[in-house]
Amino acid sequence: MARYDRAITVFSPDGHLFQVEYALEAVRKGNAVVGVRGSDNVVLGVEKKSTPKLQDSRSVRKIVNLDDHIALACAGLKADARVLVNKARIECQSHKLTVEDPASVEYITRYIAGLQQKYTQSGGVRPFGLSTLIIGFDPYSGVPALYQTDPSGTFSAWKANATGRNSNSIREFLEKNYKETSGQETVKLAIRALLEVVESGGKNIEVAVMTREHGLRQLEEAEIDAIVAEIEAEKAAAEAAKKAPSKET
Amino acid sequence: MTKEAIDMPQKGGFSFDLCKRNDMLLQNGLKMPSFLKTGTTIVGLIFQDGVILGADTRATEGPIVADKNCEKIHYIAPNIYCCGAGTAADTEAVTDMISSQLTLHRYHTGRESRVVTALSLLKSHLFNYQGHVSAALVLGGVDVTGPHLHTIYPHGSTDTLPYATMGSGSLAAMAIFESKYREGLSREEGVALVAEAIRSGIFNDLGSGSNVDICVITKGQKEYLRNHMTPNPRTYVSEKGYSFSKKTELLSTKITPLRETVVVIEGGDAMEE
Repeated sequence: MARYDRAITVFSPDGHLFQVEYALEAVRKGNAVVGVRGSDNVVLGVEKKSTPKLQDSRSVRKIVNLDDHIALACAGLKADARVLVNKARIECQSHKLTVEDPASVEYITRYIAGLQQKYTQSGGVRPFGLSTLIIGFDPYSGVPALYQTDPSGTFSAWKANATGRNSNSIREFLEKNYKETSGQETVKLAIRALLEVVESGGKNIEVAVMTREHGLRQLEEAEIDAIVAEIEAEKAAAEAAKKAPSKET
Repeated sequence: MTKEAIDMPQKGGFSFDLCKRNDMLLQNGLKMPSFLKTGTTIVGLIFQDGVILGADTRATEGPIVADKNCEKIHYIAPNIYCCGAGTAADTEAVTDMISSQLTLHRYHTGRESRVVTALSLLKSHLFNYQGHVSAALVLGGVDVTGPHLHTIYPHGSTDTLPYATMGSGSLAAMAIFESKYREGLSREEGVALVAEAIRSGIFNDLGSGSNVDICVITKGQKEYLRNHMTPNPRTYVSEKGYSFSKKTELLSTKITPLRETVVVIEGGDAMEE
């Protein structure tokens, strides 16, 4: 097995890890994912690229549970995501068995980031081609949290963030429009951010809300459509309000 | 040469490395530490809407009562609970492990766990350890296929029964079941019968005692009745209170609380770094 010892991720002369940067490119080609942290809930929204007619969409779940109080969505190579999610789920259970406490969101984020980093510094493997957004509640203090990891293995906490396709424009929108929200307002903010880059309609978005009491709840298509309609109505009203004064002058 | 990054799977099963050494120590006169056994009465029965599990709450270490109020009904899944008799550490560890495995299984399948899944996981684990994991279990739950009740023996054999008892008090409890059980019991009748069976174990078996724990599992719902009955109350203080004999003259009364209340001053000086 001597042939598989050579590392694939090596430094370039000017200090870049090209494999990691190429992995980030793969992430940039993946579907858009947005996450927003409210005061009593956390929302994840994922762009659903056009589903083929014959595909059973229920088998393609983009927002997954890691534990009762932690969920994850990712942008990039979905096959890599499956492997990472399985390892993270096992780690959540292992933590519960050894330490008699559910894992905190930060702990599992650190674990996933650690895994992603390990694969940038080992022989015969390539980095994971995905960035994840991890949401959850601290099991004891009940504080909501949103974290992001990327192929290099770094992680950080965010109030709101986006990754995947057009993440820069979504992040700009969030920076302009973010404010402390709770309940339905957080859901609306997440959907508004996602609508910046996605064609509107419940068919193209998958949204899940995590609350302390009820855990992760995936929103039905009808619910999403209703909220999208609300947002469009608000936008139209804002447009009309802008036009009316200018007409008078 | 860089090391292989992928983890190799752990080799499972009992490691026999120390058995020779243990035998040598025993021969040289070492007394093996005794382990905490739950000389126990655990029961389960199927009633018209689901399953009722019952257990006593005494944990013994030889002739000593180690825990007067321990929990012998363990959580396996939201719709599956398991009573454990035998070595307390074994029952606790094995049920926690299978509970974790079932959680992972639920994430992978997206479905509610089935009792037979828990049964298969438990029996194969116990068989692998050839009876050295001393856990005798009464497993009960309600899933999509209906209510189920099983007994699992330390060597890995199982039975599927409408009513079951295990532990040192099992004969006392089974006597109650054999005379009073019938199919289609209502919830009240079922709980009363289970409580009676456990009480029979508590009062007639030295290894069982203290209180009665009950768990009622029905479709979509479970009720964990911890200390449903406490037929062995401890009275610490005489109800009459303390009174001095008539010839004593009471000069003064001073009451000193044995627990000091600590006053926390907000914004006190932080310790210098």
